[in-house]
Parts: sequence; structure tokens; C-alpha cells
Amino acid sequence: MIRPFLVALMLAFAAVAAEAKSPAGFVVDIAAPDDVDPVGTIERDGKALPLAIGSTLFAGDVVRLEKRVEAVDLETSAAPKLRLRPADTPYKIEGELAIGDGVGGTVGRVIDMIKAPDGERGGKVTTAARGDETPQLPGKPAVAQVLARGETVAIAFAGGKGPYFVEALGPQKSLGSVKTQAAPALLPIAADAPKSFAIVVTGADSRLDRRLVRLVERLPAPPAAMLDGLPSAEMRAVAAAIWLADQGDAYQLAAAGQLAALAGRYPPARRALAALVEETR
Amino acid sequence: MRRTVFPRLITQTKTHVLKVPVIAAGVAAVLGLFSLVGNGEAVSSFLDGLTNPDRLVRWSTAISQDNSASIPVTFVDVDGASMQRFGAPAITPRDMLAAVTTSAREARAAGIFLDFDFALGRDQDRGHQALIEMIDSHPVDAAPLFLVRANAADTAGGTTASAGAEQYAAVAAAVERRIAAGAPIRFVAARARLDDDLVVRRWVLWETDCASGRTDAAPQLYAAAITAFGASEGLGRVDRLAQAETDAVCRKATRPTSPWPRNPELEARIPFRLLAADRSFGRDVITRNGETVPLMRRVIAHTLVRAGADASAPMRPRTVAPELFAGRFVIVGATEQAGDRYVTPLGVLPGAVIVANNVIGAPSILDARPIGGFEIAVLALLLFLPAFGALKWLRSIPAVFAIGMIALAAIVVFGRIYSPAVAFEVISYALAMLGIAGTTEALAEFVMAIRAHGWRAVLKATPAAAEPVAVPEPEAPKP
Repeated sequence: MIRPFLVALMLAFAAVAAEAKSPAGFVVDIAAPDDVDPVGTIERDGKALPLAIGSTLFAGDVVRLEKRVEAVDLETSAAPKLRLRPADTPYKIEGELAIGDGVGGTVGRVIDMIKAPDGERGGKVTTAARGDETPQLPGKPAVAQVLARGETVAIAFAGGKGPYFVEALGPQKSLGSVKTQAAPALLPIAADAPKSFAIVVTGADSRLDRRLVRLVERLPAPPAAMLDGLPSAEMRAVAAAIWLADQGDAYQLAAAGQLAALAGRYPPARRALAALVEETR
Repeated sequence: MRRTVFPRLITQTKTHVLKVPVIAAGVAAVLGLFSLVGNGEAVSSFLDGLTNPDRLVRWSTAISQDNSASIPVTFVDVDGASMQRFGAPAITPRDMLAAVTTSAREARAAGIFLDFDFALGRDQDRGHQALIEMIDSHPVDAAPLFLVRANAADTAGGTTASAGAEQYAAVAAAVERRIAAGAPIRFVAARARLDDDLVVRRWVLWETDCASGRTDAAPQLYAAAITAFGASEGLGRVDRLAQAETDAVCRKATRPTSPWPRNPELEARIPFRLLAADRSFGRDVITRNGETVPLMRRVIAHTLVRAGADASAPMRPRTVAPELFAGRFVIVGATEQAGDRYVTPLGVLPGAVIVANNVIGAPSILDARPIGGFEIAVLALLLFLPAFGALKWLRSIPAVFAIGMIALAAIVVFGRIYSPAVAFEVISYALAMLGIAGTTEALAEFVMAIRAHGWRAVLKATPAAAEPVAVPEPEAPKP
């Protein structure tokens, strides 16, 4: 009973195998003098085809390079980055890059999707950061943060791996970006920036966090009487930032920024910032 | 032998009270072990993925995409390394674009998109003259060439990029000259549509400027039309639709019904396929004329050109393999350009990569059977009913799996009949209905329990369950 089924299965596999070959790799770069053209050959089915940038390689192809060629970079299923020099050739190509269409292709794509880390697929959009892998901005993800217009804002964040790319993304274009090795990032917010935009911080492995931002002309300030009795400007600034953070979830990013601006030279600000970031986590 | 120790342990446990905590503790311990070996986040990501709508985009993309209807694309990536090789100029060198375009059209590409806003030129445009010459020499029978002008209206009004107005005027004049001569060159629009959360999920298909009386079409419209009808007929169709769009927007004329595209929406969902990561390229294949070709290819811009003889001489094209461009749509774009990046369901992607996604999946969106709000609601209801049944009649874990299977089946079925975007929309509505139904039912039960048992109803074990069960009287022994 099972034998006819197995025969049919083998025939089906044979039919699939007899289909057109799928690529095994590509030529992605060539380093060679201008007058060397072609830089080498691809032997396929007894024919010698010229090798050039973008050449498609199939399993069984044999690559040969001219002696004056410095190097040729390949991208194959066996090695994503393979550098060949003339001495390495002839080089036989093996494997298959493609995952195809149909059920097999769908399964392959799903496996690819599961295997690939989020960062590699373009980063997380969910603003809920987990662990220390994803840099995290202060404030609740669902709450738009309030910043003042026309200022250079210190953007504080925690976690993730540097270098970080901090960017203000407006409705149609970037409003400004800065690359930094560590928090905070000093990001200028232009006076003519749109009323709302997003601030995105992306870590080295493309994991990201973002907050929607609403610009106002002026941030709320604490009553003067509260600050009058404090002995130094730094202490007053820290108190004002803590007061701002206490005004609601919408002010966490601005308050953290004010503390971050002071944190380098005033340890109490650093501690207050750490407490604020920890609280928002 | 087949019975494992764990189920036996459970079944042999005498007291039911111990069973649930033992299982829960076991699951927690397994998850804890995952965390210890660094995979804890994978577990939480998986759980998060069950409810995150943007993750559904990934699933619907991976599962329901029909490659045979996709358009093969070669993405020429003007990446950071390329810009360094070009001497770190302020904007992408125009002579490089001219050289790459020349290569692509000589290799008989199906179409060439230059995804740089030519309306935002600068005084120091390197190779500007080489670009003008390339446009002026674009043959009538060459591959259609498309240039983006996203901010043309602003430039004309003098509000932005006044320094580049002269360059834009020169490019526009060259394009107009060639269009008049019958050459296949067009300006296209590249306008993302932002949702309320500033995430780009849709693309504007038409951009009309009534001051100049023109409408620019999105790249995917041209790509789909050329693929379906050939270059000449495809361009003509989109041109006629663009004219109708100008009349509709600027002169309040009625939009004529057109057999193409089947989906008449003015905005299109972005069919996300291609990502910025290297591994996305070359893996998917389609069969064209009996040959298996990669659906998506990527080539780094600096590998395609040679420097000029001296610093002022324009770059020249290098020899490339014909299959890199032949019969494919070539999209030239920058991936490290700060001003052209968007937050998408997959993360921050460069605008050019989104354009590539749009072109690849254009048939699946534009040729998809049009579907109205009522039909979506009916489909969502059809999906909701079995899902609600599962939630109502099954225990929670089988119910979650059953609902997951229903959603996956819907992605496959609706994705093939309509489009992945429609499948995603239907599932979103059905899940929303499920959430509302579940919450309403729980509230109703709670209210009834409060009315029946008072404040004790807030306790987990309801008073009804806590009441002693009546034990039947033992039968009297028979004499």
C-alpha cells in the first residue's frame, strides 16, 4: 500500500529537481585594473561565460580569474561574503541560494522570519523594550511627549548597544539626526519644526524605541518660591526637572533631557536621571 | 512505554488542587530556562506577536505572497560606503546616476527609477551636466526612465531649496524635451502616507499640483502597467489616468471608471517584502520564460561605476552582467540619506527600500479584486463567528491555537483571493470584534454575578462554586 505512495513521492521530487536551476550566488564586487575586461570566466555546461559585476552563479559553475585581477567578491549560499583571488581559482560553486515559491518557499520565508532577529529585519516597532538589548526612551510609549520648540534637546535613553542613531522623523522628512556613542544625544529641534513628529533611537543592532512628540512654545515652569531657597543653579535645575517629571507622563522625555544635560557635571542630576529612567522602565 | 513521566505524574496526582499550580510552575520554569540561555526575549516576542497588528503584516507577507505575480527588482544601493568612495558629497553625485542609468538601459531593463528628489537640487550638484546629457540622449525605444520630484510644488513656490531651483528647472526642461520627442521619461511622485502614529503603512498613488495642472503617478503604478501591457501601452494608460486625476482634483470632474487598475483606491497599502538587511535579497525566486530568476537583487552603487580620468570628469559605467538589469525594474536609491527614512511596521526603512517594496508587490495590490468596507465587514464577521465559538466552547489554550489557525487560514485564503493587505485588514477587524465581544461578555457576567451575590462576586471563586455540593443519600442495603 505504501510502496506506490513512495514511488509517487520520488517522482514528484524528481520533477521538482528537474525544474530550472536556482541561483547559488552572485558576483558583488570586482577589484581589477580598468583594462582587464573580462576579469575572468564562469564555466557552465562546457561553455566559458564572461564574469562581471552582477553575474549570477549556479551550483556546478567553475570560476576562473585573470592573473592581474586583485580580488572578486562573491555572495553565495555557502558564504555570504567570499573573496576570491586568482590563486584561489578555479573555484567550484556549490549550494543554492533560493527558497523558491509554493509551499516550500512559504515555509522557508516563515523560517527566515522566525530566525532573523528583529533588528535585522528593520527593527522593532513596538515601543515596549525588553531587557537591555533595546535602547529605551523615557516616558510611556502610548503617551506623546511634550518638548519646547526651537531648542537643542538632550535626548536621554538607557539600554541597548552603541553607537546610537537618534533621529527626529517628521511627517515627510527627517528633522535632524545625531550619531552618538552614549546617551544623551543633543538633538536640535528647529524653530519651524512641525507640531508633532517622532523621536527614534536606534541601537547598533537596529533595535529601536520611539516616542511621538508634541511641540509647545514653552514648557511649564515650577513656582519661583519653590526654587528660591535652593543654594546653587544646578540644584535649582535638578529640582525644576523633577518638578516637571511630576507634572505627568507627557513630560518624562523633557525632564530626562534636562537632567541629562546636567548629569555630566553634577552627580545628583545623574542619580535623579537614573531613577527617572528606571521608573519609566 | 509511550506514556511519558510527566502526564503520568499529573494523572496520578490525587488532589486536583495541586495539578494547576504544578503545571503553571513547570511552564514558568521552562520559560525561566529560556531566559537563562538568552532566549527569554524570543518567548515574549512570540507572545507579543500574537496581538501586535504590525507583526501581522510580517506574517501575512510571508505566508500569503504569491511570487508569480511579483515584479523582479534590482535595487542599486547608494549606501554609506558608496558615498565615502564618491568623496562624501552633500548629495548623491548626478554623474553616478547617469552612469548607472546608462548601464541599465543598455542591458534592457524593464524600467529605471531614480529615487532622488530632483526638485531639491543644490548649487554644488556634482555631475549635473552629465545627468542632463543622459536625459537628452535617452532613446525613444529605451527602458522607461522615472525621476522623482516629491517637492516640486514647494520649489516652484520658492519655499524650499531655492538654491536648487535652477538645477531642477534644467532637469525638468530636459525631461519635457524628451517627452515631446516621444521618449519614455516621466516624473513620478514618492509620497508616503503617515498614519496617526506616524508609521508609514500606505503610499499615495497620485500627487496633483493644480498650480501647474499636472499629476505625478507613484512608481508602482508605472511598474504594474508596464508589466501588464508593455512599455508604450503601460505609459499611455498611466498618463491618461493621471490626466483624469488632474481633472477630478482641480476641475471637480468625475473620475471615469477604468478597467485597470482593478483596485481604484487613491492610496495603497505597502506590500512589505524587501527589507534593508542583506539576507532579504536573492532568496526569493520566480520563473520567467522558463528561467529561475531572483525576485530581488541588490548591488552596491560604487561597484557599478569608475571614477573619471580626473576629479572634474564624470564617472563612467563599468561592465556589468546583463542579467543584473535585463527585464527587471531598477531602483536607484540611498539607504543612508537622513532625510528619507520612515518608521514602518518593520522598523525604520529608507524611502528607496519602501519604493522597491511597492514595485515588487504592485500587482498584488493594484490588480487585487477591489473590496469595499461592507464586504470587509462581512468577511470579518465570517471570521469572527468561528473564532468566538472557539473562545466560548474551548479551554483557553486550545482556543488560542484554534483562533491562531483560523487567522493563518484567513491569511492564506483572503491573501490569495484579494491581497495580503486585505487579509490583514479583515483579521484586524475580526480580532477587534473578538476583543469587544469577550470584554462585553465578561462585563455582563460580572454584572450578573454582582446582582446575584453582591460584593463576593469580585472574588475569583464565585459563591456558587464554593457552595457545598449536595451528596446523594446512600442506597439502603437490599435485604
